[in-house]
Amino acid sequence: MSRSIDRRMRPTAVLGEAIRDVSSGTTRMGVFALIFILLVGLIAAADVNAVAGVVRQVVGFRAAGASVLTLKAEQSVDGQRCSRLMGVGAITGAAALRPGQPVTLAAMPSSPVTGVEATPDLLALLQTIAQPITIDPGTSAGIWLSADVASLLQAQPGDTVPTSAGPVQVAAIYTWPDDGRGRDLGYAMVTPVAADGVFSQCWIETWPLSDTVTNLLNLSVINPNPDNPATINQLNTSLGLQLDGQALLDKRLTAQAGWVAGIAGLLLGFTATRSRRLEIADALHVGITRTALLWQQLLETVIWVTASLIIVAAALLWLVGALGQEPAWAIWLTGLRAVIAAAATTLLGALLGASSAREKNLAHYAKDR
Amino acid sequence: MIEQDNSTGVDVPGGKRAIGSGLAHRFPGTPLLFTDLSFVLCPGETVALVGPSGSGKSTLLSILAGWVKPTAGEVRWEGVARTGWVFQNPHGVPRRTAIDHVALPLLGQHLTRVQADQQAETIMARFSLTEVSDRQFRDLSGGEAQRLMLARAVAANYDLLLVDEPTAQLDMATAATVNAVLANVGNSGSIVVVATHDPHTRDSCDRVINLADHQPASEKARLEIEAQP
Ligand SMILES: Nc1ncnc2c1ncn2[C@@H]1O[C@H](COP(=O)(O)OP(=O)(O)OP(=O)(O)O)[C@@H](O)[C@H]1O
Ligand SMILES: [Mg+2]
Repeated sequence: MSRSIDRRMRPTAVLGEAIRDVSSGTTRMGVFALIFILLVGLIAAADVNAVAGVVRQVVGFRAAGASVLTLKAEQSVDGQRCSRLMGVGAITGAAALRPGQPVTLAAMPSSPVTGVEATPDLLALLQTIAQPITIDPGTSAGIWLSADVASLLQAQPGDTVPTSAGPVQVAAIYTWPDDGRGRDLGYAMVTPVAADGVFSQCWIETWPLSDTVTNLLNLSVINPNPDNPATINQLNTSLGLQLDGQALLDKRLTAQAGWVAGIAGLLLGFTATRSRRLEIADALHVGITRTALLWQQLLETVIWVTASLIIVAAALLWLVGALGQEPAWAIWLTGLRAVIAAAATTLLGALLGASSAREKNLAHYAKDR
Repeated sequence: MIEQDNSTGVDVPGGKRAIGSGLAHRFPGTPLLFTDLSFVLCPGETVALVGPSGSGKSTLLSILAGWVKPTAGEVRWEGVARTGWVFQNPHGVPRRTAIDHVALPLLGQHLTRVQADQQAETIMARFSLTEVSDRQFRDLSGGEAQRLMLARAVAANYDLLLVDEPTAQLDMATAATVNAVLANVGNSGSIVVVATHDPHTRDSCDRVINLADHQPASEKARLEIEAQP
């Protein structure tokens, strides 16, 4: 006798079984979600912290002026040529400088301020290497004061201060910390001047660092003086000559976080369904198809993995905010990669665990209990 | 999906049968457990398989399931595609309700949840489980859990159902509640064999196969078996 029985379980019935498993606690969603959150969350948090550290180091390197090269050649730097280096190759900023008249402030006649004349492009460069910097939006012309001078004068951007050369308007106040950088601009008043003419220094900022820029920098020199050749130096040598951000990222302790989280997810997912092998073998024995069971286990796993994913993603978002390192979104996404890898392998592990249960082992599993 | 019979290929009008002829079995290096055993099993009756401990009851069930090949003789299955087991220790999903256990095989037969629950209730009533149908499996007594295993087996609609020592883990009073409903398994359209050494369980069945009657009488029997190809 042949019987015709449709052994396809209805999708609604599969979903119903999954929901009943979750709501009855059969899935043990809380336990597995907690393990996922702690394990994968810690791995991802460690990675976020490491990436933020590398970014902080790179940003710090540039902010300290370590990525600025200074060429010094008395009366031999062409202002136009120097300014035009900006945008060539990896050069993000270029400006020519020369000494100006020392300035005596009415408030402090005994300690004259270094006078510096620079091409206007220096202001853009200062925004990378002299933070915090405040610029008065209303003042197009005017001098730039170092914060040390400004605080003595209690001057704000936009103020007019009396000097030995007459009153001048303050267009910007920049910070020049004593962090190992050259002191030329430390206690100084910078007056922007037209790029026409001869200067004594050319500064360029390059990112990423490149060995070929010194050749470019030499292009700013006209009328080289054989007795007094041009010298090129790093503005701040205290942080070392080189910093390879990509290499630091690749070498970070948590560079393998994605793999580690992925393997953790695989084991966790496998454990979650493998531990229910008796129940799965039983279901196979009463005539449920493997396909229906895999869908059911996948649905149950998706529920707790998704919940965990959202919680970990939110926690990482909070962490990135607390670390305060920009670019926050990029750092967050880096950490999220490990979490997503773990979520995917958890689902895979759950399917593998559910596939490993065999109806034939039923008697064996039953005795195991 | 059309189920294919794994039987001899002969289409038997009128139903399913399991036919054992000249069965004997021994495990490597052990004496014969039983010999010269022949029977025909049909749906509609519950057959008790009895005999002293170690006489090979569980082994014979495994032979009937096709898991173990007998040393001599053969089993022929006609119209038997699916074989189910009920073991002596009931097992289920601790936090799922009793009725969910019975409804599951019905959901696997393409029924909706409502249809499956209705049918499950009908089956459970036959096993005196109506009162506990919404109780979680972990809260069931041993007797209730074992009756639930029988009800679930009925819902699964096996062609051949093998029950091994259903009352071995139960006290007398609880065992009685299981024995009281055992006949209902036999009425379900499956071939049912119950291995037991509980005389009350035996009495609840319609027919008895006693392995004690098939113990090897002499060395002659052993030699005869060995002479076979
Ligand atoms: N796989 C095996 N290999 C070798 N010997 C086995 C194997 N399985 C069972 N036996 C032996 O065969 C004999 C019969 O075992 P079986 O479990 O069939 O007996 P039984 O009648 O079910 O006993 P009980 O009433 O105690 O359940 C026992 O002596 C057992 O040790
Ligand atoms: Mg036995």
